[in-house]
Amino acid sequence: MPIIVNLDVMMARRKISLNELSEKVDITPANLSILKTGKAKAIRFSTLETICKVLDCQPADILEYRSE
Amino acid sequence: MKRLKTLCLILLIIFFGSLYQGAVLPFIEGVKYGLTIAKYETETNTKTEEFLMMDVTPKNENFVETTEINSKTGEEVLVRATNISVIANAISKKPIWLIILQSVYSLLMIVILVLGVWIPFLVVKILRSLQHSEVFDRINLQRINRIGFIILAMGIFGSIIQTLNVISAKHFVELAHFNFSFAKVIDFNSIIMGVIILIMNEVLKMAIEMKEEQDLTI
Repeated sequence: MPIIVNLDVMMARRKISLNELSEKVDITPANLSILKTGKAKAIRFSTLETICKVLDCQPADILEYRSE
Repeated sequence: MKRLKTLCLILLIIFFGSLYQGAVLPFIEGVKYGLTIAKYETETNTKTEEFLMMDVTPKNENFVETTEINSKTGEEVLVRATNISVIANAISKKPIWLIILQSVYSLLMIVILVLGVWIPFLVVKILRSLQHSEVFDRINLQRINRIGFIILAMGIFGSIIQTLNVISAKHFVELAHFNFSFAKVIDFNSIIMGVIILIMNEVLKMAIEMKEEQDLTI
C-alpha cells in the first residue's frame, strides 16, 4: 500500500512504549501493533486525533504517501 | 443461530429425501430391470448387449399406447408412455465413434459419482464450522465454491451423458410410433443451482472482505 505508517518513528522520537501509548489512546496493544506494523486497512479520525494529541504531532508525521 | 440450525435440519431432511429418490429408488428399479433382463435372456436364450432407458415422445400426437381402468372411479383412462426401456440385442459391429462415446460416458459416470460423494462431506464441514461460529472464514468460501463448481459440473456432465444416451439409442433402435426425445437431456436445475451457489459465494466473498477491512480498522 502506498500509505506508510510512521508511528514507530514518532514513538521512538517521543520515547514512548507501545503499552504506554495504547493506555493513553485507549485502544488495545494488539490493535496498536496492527497500526504500527502497517497491517491496518483504515484508521478512524477519532483514533488519529487521540494519537496526535498524545504524541503531540500532526497526522502527516504519522502517515506518509509514497508512490509505488 | 436458531434459524440457521432449523435451516440445517431442513437441509438434512431434504438431502436424505433426495438421496432416497435419486439413489435408493433408482438402485431398486435397476435391480428389478436387471432381473427382468435376466429372465428375458433365459427365456429367449439370448445375450443382451445394450440396455437403454429413454424418454420418448409419440410421433402422432393422438397416438395412445393403451387404456387402463381407474380403480378409484371405475372409468377407463388413456395412458401414454413417456419413458421406455429398450433392450437391443445382436449388435455385432459397433462403429468406432460409438465405442469412444460410450467410453467417455463411462468415464463421466465415474467422475459424477466421485463428485456426488464429495458434496455431503463439504456440507458437513461447513455446518461444523458454523457451529463453532466461524461463519466468515475463507475456508468456508473455498468449500462453497467447490460445491458450486461440483453441482455445475454434475449438471453439465449429466447433460452430456443424457445426450450420449439419446445418440446411442438413435443408432441402435428406431420405433414406429415414438421418437427419442432430446427435451429433458439438459439438466437445467443443477446448472442454475450451481451458478446461483457461485454467485452467492461471490457475495459472501465481498462480505468477508468487508469484515476483514472492518477488523483492520483501528
